[in-house]
Amino acid sequence: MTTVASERPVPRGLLAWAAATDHKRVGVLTGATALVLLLVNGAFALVMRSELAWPGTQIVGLKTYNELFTAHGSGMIYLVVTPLAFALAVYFVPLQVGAAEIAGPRFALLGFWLYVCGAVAMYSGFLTQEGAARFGWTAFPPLSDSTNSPGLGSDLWLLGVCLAVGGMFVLSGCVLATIVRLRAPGMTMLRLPVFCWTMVVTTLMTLTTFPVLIVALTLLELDRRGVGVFTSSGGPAAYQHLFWFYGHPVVYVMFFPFVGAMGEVIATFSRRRFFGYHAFVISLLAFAALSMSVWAHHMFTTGQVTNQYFSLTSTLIAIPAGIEYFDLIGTMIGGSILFRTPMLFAIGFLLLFLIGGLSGIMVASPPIDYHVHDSFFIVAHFHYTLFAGSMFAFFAAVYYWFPKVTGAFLREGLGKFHFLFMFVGTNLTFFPMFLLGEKGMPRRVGDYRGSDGFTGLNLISTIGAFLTALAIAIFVCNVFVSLRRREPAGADPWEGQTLEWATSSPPPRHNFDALPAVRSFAPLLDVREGKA
Amino acid sequence: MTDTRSQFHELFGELYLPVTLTVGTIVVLVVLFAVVRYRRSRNREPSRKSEAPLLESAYAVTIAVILGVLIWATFTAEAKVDKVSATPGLRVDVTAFKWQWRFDYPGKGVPPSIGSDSHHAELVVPVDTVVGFRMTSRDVIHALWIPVARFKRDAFPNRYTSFDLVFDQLGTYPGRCAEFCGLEHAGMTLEVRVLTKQAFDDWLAARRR
Repeated sequence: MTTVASERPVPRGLLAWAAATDHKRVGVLTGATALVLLLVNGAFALVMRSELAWPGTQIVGLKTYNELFTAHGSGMIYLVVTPLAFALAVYFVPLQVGAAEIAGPRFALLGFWLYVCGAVAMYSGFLTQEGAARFGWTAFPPLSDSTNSPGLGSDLWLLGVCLAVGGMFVLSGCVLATIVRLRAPGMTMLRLPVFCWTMVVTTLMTLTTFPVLIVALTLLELDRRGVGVFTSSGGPAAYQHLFWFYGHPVVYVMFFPFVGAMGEVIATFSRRRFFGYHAFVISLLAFAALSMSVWAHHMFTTGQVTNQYFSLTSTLIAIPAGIEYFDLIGTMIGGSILFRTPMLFAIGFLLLFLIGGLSGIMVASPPIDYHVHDSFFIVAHFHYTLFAGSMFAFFAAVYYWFPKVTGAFLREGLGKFHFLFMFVGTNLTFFPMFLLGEKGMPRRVGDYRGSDGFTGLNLISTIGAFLTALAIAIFVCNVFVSLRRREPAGADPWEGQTLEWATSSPPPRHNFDALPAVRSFAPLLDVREGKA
Repeated sequence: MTDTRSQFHELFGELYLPVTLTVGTIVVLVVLFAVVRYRRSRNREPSRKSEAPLLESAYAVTIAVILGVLIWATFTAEAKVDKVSATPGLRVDVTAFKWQWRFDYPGKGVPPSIGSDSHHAELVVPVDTVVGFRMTSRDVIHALWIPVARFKRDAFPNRYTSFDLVFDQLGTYPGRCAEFCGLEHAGMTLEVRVLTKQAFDDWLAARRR
């Protein structure tokens, strides 16, 4: 577990970052890029919400609206939430397993640059003559073929997604290899921290399903070049099968890492060992296995799949998900809970993700899905999982690990305002969408009629979106203020339980000068409890 | 008769919604209990118990039982909703295209209703009658969504899909395309008019002239 110091001159400045093979730098680069893109795609959402606040087209035309929702959806999934998950993993998995380095550091750098190139390719579509891609993040043919979506913007989008997803594929290889090969002495697989276990199952899903998306999009590009891949009567459905074979597991790729991070937050701020560790690990594995067999629940209304089978597997997901909730809440019960900002976001997650999860059980039922599929009900459902769920947990992780990465705390007061505005804003934005969808408002529409009766709820949703934007603005201010006027954090400001807190903040290039004995998944808690 | 609207109401309104609301309320109460009871200011020593396999197994079995009930109800409802009658009371052929609808009444000798920029396509049906639909698309994937029937189905090009609907309430209702289909997707609407059987026959006769 030792590294040999390089004799060559060390590059400095920008080049040192651009060519960084230190996993901590790659993690920061990936996270910072994804956060900037979060702001960009969030701005797209604000434009869309402004357009929908009132019937009629006031701000952008239909063509631009269609480009915006495509850019927002594909941007958030391919370029923001997945990369944020891997940014956390690339930075913290090597630290948590007590490794001096990530496995394949140059591959990690490659993964980051593939991701950046993918982002550039996707957004450059806006600079082309015909405009950017506008067929949704799913790019179903025949809408995405060369007849219905001519223009370079669509090709650039396909290329960009392949590059970005390829980048994440490479990063996940590095993360899994680190966990399998570079664990500290004493750290068996069943002594891996909770976050690392969520990354094991995440990378297993990534490695098995991301290549399928790359294949599907490559076939689509061939189709656009006249090869005729999806032109038969079964072709469009075949594409959907390939797409959702990636497209459903990826929602758990964008979920597990944040749940894992939140598990660390809850255990730490409850000053208690994570409850039900073994059940949690088993449920994660079951969850990941099930996640590979639910994809066609996105296709209930096609009339071309065996709805019962996919309804059954999708509904069964509630069992491992329920066990994870049990363990997270069980960790709080019997604990000694300190309500710092990370913990507030974690509790916000528990309350809000619940709405996303329970509405997920509803849409797993085909007769219910026949009504709400492709409506705003679905938009509400997946924003409650991805935004109210994953992003709340992500912010819990940011407030928790920021001191480790920078050596300084984020401001507690601003953090609480951030949480408050985001909690209220998120519910104002997304809850009305359930009602809109049930009332009959389809998704992906830039306009509706005054007579539809959608106006009031849309206006509330738009107000909520701006409140959420205010929350994000407070967060950005918090980052700048906290870096400018630093409140030094020290090596272990929260009484952490895992190995990343056993080194300085930020950690040195080689991560650790010395490691404590590892006798459980919470080695630093063992030390405090006098077990080590 | 497959009345999709009442099937939806029974399944969603009377089962899924109450069950999920109950479960959700219990979880929220437990979280709030934990937050209040175990806050640090109460100065308790944190528990060192870290596994409760029996309790957790019992909990998992409980979830499984609840899900079993939900799945059973779903399968029962879906068997009814998906059933396609060999002898419907009326046949309607639906053709979706960018960005309008076309409704044909095969064997009735009436001209089709086709939407245009100035007016919606009209789907006129008799009340309490099994209407057998046969649907396709002429270009990209569309989806026929009739919110009042709580039902939608995708229309694929080069492919026909069949489904039955029963409308049990007189009146005029909106319908839309639910699958994003390009520039004018938002405006791809239709109107569903449910008439009494007598009024429907009169409508047919008037259309034939």
